[in-house]
Amino acid sequence: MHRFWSLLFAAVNLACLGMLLVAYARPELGWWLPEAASTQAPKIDALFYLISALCALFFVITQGILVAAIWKFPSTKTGEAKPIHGNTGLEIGWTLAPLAGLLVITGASLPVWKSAKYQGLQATFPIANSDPAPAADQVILVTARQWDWHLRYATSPLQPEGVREWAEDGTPADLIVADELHVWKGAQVTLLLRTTDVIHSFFIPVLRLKQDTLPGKTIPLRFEATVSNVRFDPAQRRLVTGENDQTWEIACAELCGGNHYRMRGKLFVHPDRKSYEAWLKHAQSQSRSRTLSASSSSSSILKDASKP
Amino acid sequence: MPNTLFRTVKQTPLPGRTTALLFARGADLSRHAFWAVSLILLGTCSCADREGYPDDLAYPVRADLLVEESPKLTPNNLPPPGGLEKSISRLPELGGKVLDPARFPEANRTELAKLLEEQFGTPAQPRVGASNAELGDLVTKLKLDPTTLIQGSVSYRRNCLHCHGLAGDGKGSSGLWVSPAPRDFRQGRFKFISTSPAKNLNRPRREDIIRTLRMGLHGTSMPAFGIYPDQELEALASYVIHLSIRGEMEFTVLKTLLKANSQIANLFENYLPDEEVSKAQENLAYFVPKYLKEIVTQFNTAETQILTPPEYPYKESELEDSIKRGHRLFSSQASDALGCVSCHIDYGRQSPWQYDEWGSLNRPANLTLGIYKGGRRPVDLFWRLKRGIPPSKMPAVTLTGDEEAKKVWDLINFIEAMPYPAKLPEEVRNSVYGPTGRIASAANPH
Amino acid sequence: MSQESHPAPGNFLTKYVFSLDHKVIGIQFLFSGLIFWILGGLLALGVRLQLGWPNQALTELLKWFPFLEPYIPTNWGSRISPEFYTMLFTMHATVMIFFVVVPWLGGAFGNYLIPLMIGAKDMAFPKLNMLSYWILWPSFFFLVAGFFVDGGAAGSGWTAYPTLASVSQNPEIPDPGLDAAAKLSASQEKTSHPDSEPGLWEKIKNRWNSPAASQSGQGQVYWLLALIFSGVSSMMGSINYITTILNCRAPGMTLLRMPLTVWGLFITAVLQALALPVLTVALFMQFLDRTVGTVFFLPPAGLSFGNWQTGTGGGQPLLWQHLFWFYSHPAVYIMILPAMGMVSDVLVASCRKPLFGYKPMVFSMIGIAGLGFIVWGHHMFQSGMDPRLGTGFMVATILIALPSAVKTFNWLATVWGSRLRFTAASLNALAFISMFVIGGLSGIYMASTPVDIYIHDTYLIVAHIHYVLFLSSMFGIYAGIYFWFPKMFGRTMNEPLGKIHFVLTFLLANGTFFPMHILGIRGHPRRYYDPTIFDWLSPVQPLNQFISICAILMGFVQVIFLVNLFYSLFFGPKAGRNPWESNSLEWEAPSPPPHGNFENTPIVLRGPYEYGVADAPGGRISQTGNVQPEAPVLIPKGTHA
Repeated sequence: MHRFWSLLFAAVNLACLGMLLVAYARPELGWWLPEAASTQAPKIDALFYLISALCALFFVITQGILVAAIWKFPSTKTGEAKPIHGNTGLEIGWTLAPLAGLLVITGASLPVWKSAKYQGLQATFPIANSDPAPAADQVILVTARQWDWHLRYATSPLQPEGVREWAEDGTPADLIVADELHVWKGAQVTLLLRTTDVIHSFFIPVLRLKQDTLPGKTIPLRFEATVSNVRFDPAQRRLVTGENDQTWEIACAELCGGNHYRMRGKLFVHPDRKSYEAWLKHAQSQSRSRTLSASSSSSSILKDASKP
Repeated sequence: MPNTLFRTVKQTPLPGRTTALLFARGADLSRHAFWAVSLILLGTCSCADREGYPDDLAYPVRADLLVEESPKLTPNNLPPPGGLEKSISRLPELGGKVLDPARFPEANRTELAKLLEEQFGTPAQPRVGASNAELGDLVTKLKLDPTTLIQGSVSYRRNCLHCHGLAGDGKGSSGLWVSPAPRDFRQGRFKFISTSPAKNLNRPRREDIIRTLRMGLHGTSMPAFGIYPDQELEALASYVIHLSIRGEMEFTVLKTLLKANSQIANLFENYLPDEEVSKAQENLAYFVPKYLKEIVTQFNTAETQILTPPEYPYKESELEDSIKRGHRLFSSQASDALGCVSCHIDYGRQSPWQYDEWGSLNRPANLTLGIYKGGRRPVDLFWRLKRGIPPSKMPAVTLTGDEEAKKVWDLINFIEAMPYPAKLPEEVRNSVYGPTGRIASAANPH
Repeated sequence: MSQESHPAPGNFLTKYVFSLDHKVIGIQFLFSGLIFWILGGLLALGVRLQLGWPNQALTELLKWFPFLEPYIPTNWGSRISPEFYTMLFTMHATVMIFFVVVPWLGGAFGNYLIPLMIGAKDMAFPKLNMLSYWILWPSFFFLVAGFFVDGGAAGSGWTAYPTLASVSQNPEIPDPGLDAAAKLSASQEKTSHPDSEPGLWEKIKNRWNSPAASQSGQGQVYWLLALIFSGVSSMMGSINYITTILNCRAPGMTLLRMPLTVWGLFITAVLQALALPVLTVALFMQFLDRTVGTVFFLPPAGLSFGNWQTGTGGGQPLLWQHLFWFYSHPAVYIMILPAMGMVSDVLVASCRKPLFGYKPMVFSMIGIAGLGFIVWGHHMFQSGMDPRLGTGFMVATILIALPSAVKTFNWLATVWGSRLRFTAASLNALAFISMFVIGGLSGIYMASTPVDIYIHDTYLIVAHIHYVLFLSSMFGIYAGIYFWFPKMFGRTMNEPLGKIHFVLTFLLANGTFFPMHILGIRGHPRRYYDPTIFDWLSPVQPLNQFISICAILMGFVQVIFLVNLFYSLFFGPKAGRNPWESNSLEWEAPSPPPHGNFENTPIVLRGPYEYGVADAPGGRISQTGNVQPEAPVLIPKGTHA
């Protein structure tokens, strides 16, 4: 019977590990990390894999010992167990070994964290004695509410010191759209996150970007997208699929009431500034319309005919 | 979808049957327990995860109070969250009139339910008109064909039901807890419309509903659905029109018949004055299809009765003067001005609460915030001005004379500039914001 | 000490209901917890039903359980509404954490085992002990009553973050419309609705309603009250435990001769005593925000919810998160340390081998508790807290993995070379170790701040907390119940049923919670009513269904446990004093122990883990056993007999 228990533990642990491996090895299942489309995404993924490797090692060692012990030392085995109360050498050993691994993880995490979150902070509330953040190419104020996102785009370049004033007052030329984040590949984007009511969390999986919005605060974020998924075709006056035809979504990650699950938005990464500005011009002319015109959707994308 | 691994779990009925037989011989208790398990599992796994309504679900006949007349009062605060229904029941104390469908005779209610189901189907199988032939083109032009309506019903259940409710009553699970209250479609009335007031048609165009869906209603809990495919929004608009026609039919019949000393004849008098009816035909079964045709015709007419904005007359350099003129039109009580401030007190910052047709409270917009419920495009503002917001107390602006086009755009220019003190001419800024400039407001999200 | 001060109970009421006896109180905690365990489990199944089949009409379920109609109304297509869904997961977490795991570990096992294991006659403060149980009843009331108020039970998550949970209508503005009504009715004759003027109670309830969400209204107020009372109960318990353990140990029971269960409970009690006041204060602050209109958590400029505006504030929503997690992170250890101790004891008794590294085990528990106070910020990496603070919290959080690793290795070394007896208790204890490794490892992902950006508030968190709380703590509790049941009731539980229950629960629990890691890696946010509206989540929906099926089956498997428990309570085979041939003091007492526990005050001569002693009878020496009569009896100073 003890072999059964040993096998049961082995089977459960192998099944768990196997499930992860299947999810990893077969990305077409869609059970693994979504595409990495920002400069910080590959860094976070690399950390994820580093931690996974160390964890896998620890997992295999500990579960292996447990399974083997159950297999080898049932009560039916003859003789009494050796009354060992401990071993200082072993204790020191298995304190230091995990410590080494944990220090590696800490060391690898620090720079990534710094680049992911300090930069946004830096752009608006400069940290003393550190390098200034590069100027933003795009500034977008994201206002969350129950239950959608309002994005206000600055349509002319902003000086870093003018950002806060712009966030407070805005200008008539700003473009306001709901749920659609348009950026271009390589742009340094500063997002300013706000909320009118409760805490929300602005989550873009492909950018590995997440930040709560906090009532009463404006929280800056900085990112740079590295893959584009749409471009604006001025001839058709529509978006067409870009480098790939992925739909990239924005989600809310902090409970904000009954309809928390439906704060869905979309991310559109244009291949270059030109495409983005063409879209911006189009969207502005739509939103400034003084003539009879149908409200049009800028987000329904035509498949690019030139692509297979 | 590439997930084949667990698809099998979903499609094959669980190894239920043979095990069930084994258990059937066992004690009653275990059999019951087993069926409870397998029913839940089979019920949930083997049938497809259906997105629409169950087939046996019917639209409920209206049971909540009908607001016949809203009070003229301007109370100083809103009902508490969740308190809308209670507050409607208290309207008579404030001088309003409500009708209670509970007083509707049971026989009439059964008949009405039957007739409504005949004409409008069920949530899973919605339709407009008992048969398509009867209404013909009227229905197809409005995209109220059953295929579109079924698509709309599925999408409505997923996206709208929890606020707008099964019958479009605005009393879904979240509905009573948001303010402004979600639209109750059952009176056939819509706020943000762009149809010409000429024929006194208070009907929306399909485009108006789609605009609301696409952009949401900023400043309310109505989210934007702009990232949804156009086709889905079209289907939703069709389904909303379906709900609104069904609700209006119900509302009309109930409202007329619940009044003291009223009879079915009053329905024909009030709503089908042009129809030749004999005494023998004075029944609901005759009235409902006739009136349905009347409503659908009106919706069709509305599609063509667009209120077209006049051409924008100004150059960029003339903007400042235009804003000044707009400011005067807005704030002056002179006879050639509009005096909008009499409702939008302090430019909307101290607007009073007012009852709308549904018995819920709203107030004239605070225009210093840059939040425009009916849309922020200049053309949307034009429609709000020229059409008003009929179900609430916002009147349509009437401007006379040759200067009309210019005056409208003056007003729109001023309204658009109002949230940006830095852009206002100095005397206008002083008038709107006082000499100290803008006071930061909590409620200003932008 | 006062442990001798209370007489043996005379009648039924003082013996079984308002009992001062720690054993009866422990059993009262056990059975109250059991009822809430069933409730919490059913709530979880509701969550799984929705997530597995988010678009499925539940008509079959309604036929079976018609009383669910108000929550799954037929006129909404017989589906769970999003509001009810938020209640389901909020109340599931609340019930399981504050009314099941904490009362079971601290209340039931703490009460039952501490005096027995340290050789005391009772708790230091028996009346306080009784109070700590009965003060839970108001808490039970408010918890359950929440389901029946307007808007339903609390639905802003068990974390109850402001401002979703905390805002109320501005009470300075008089009650809606009623002023106008009053003015009018003063001038006019009242015609209808003679009873419509709201009473005081209704006015109060209206004020409680929240503009943020229906389920953060009255339900949230009830939730706060429930937690305040349960916190007071835990506080009383922990004061009592600390005093008892420090003052009432039997002669010779030095601190380092205490079994690890007592150590676990002792450290837990210290954690609770230090952290709970902070939570209670936070709960009171939110309670005041909700009811009388203070603005502790309302930002200076106020908020807007459509037409509803709050007044101006002056508080800070982030304050709640700091206060809440300052308790609730240590609470995670409160919910695992006693289980770690119990599992160690169960394991050692089953291994017939001394515990490997007793002192490292004790010190690592102390280390976990100490570090546990400076890691709360890791719940807030994405909250808008200054990211530089996050850096500090990350280092502390990563370090806390170390004592856990040390404990794991010590357990493994204990099992290695042992003579394992496979009982339901020992299997559950072994599963604890195995599953705690998974739960612990997934925690490292969250500790690393950059990875946490991605996985924060996703299903990886849900997987992690359930591996720690369900697959670890709960398996520890199962092990504890199987192991100490003979002591509590004088009868043993049925072993074959216990093993069947273990195997099925072990398999199904992994089937339920392991795929959640994959959902988390995909980025599936938690607390989602319907993930299928997102394109990027639709590939994992089959996993959601698989999880739900496992969860529902696991729910039914628990019936085996309940049947076993209640059957054995009355018909189980009689157990002797020491059915497991264990060493610690509780096994010296009769089963069940009488009033006062021990016939004679035990005198402790050694540690609790003397197994594998070749020349001793049964290969073991109990804590009172003295095989070398000439060895001096050590009675430390300050230990009162």
